[in-house]
Amino acid sequence: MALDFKDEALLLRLQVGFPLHPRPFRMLGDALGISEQETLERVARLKREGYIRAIRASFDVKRAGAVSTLVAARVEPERVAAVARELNQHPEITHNYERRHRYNLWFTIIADTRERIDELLERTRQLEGVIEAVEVPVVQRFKIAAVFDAQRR
Amino acid sequence: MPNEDEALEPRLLAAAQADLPLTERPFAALGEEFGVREDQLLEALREWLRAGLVRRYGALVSHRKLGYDCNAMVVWQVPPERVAEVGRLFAADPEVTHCYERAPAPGLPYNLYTMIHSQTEDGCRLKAENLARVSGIAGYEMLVSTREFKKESPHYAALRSRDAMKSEA
Repeated sequence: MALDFKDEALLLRLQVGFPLHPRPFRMLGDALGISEQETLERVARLKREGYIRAIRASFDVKRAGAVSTLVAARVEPERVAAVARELNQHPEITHNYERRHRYNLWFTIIADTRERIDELLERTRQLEGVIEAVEVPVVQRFKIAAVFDAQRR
Repeated sequence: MPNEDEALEPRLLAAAQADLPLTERPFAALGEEFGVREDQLLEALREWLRAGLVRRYGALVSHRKLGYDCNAMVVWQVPPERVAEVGRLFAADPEVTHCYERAPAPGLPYNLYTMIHSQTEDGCRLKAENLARVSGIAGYEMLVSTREFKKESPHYAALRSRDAMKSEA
């Protein structure tokens, strides 16, 4: 089903400034001029149709006491899917993309310790088809937002 | 009391990361599931947001479903003395969803990494060209994603080094 302007406004408000209030859906509805019940029905539909993956807290990795890094790997093209599958068995690997580049596999690791990251890097380098895996750790963050506005498309 | 706090925190943390139920009193429902009170959960979330431990509370959406079909990583070679200025400039663009300074590596001489989401690959390319023009940074590459093998939000079982957190804040 296509999104109407209320769905789009709701999607934005669900991402930024979600009310930390006992009745958040009533508050969201008030802002959009719809009832709590209609708000809940719309959110349920947006979720069912795959627009919303979840509603929850996103933590600051560093402040939560975790260690993270981004890894760029050069993998033999015919081995990319198999290597990705092996890597993805580890819960510490949270994002994993094939990209059109000489470094064709990019993944993030979020682990409890630096040692665990080193261990996963070492395992990556031992996988069949992996030519090279280098780390490009964060020095400074300017933006981490990923708020999507359906109205701006 | 400290013992009680220790027992409470993991449950609050688990509740904060669980998908919010779609009911009239969702925080109460979560609280029931994880053994915390609604007001404790709401207070913890507000406090964690204030402290910066929680970056955001809300919906995680599918950018593809919303019509942003192109996900490109654009990597830039910025003179070290301009990194802060260019980083802030790129971060201000609404189509740039992530902007990080990263350490260059052998074979990857880039120090500024941006994620651009657009409806099409051409849209991503135009945006990258535009960013290059306004910043005057000519050395860049665009890496379009061709397959998504995994995309998950991390879950934290425990908050470690609270003291380190405080000193950093």
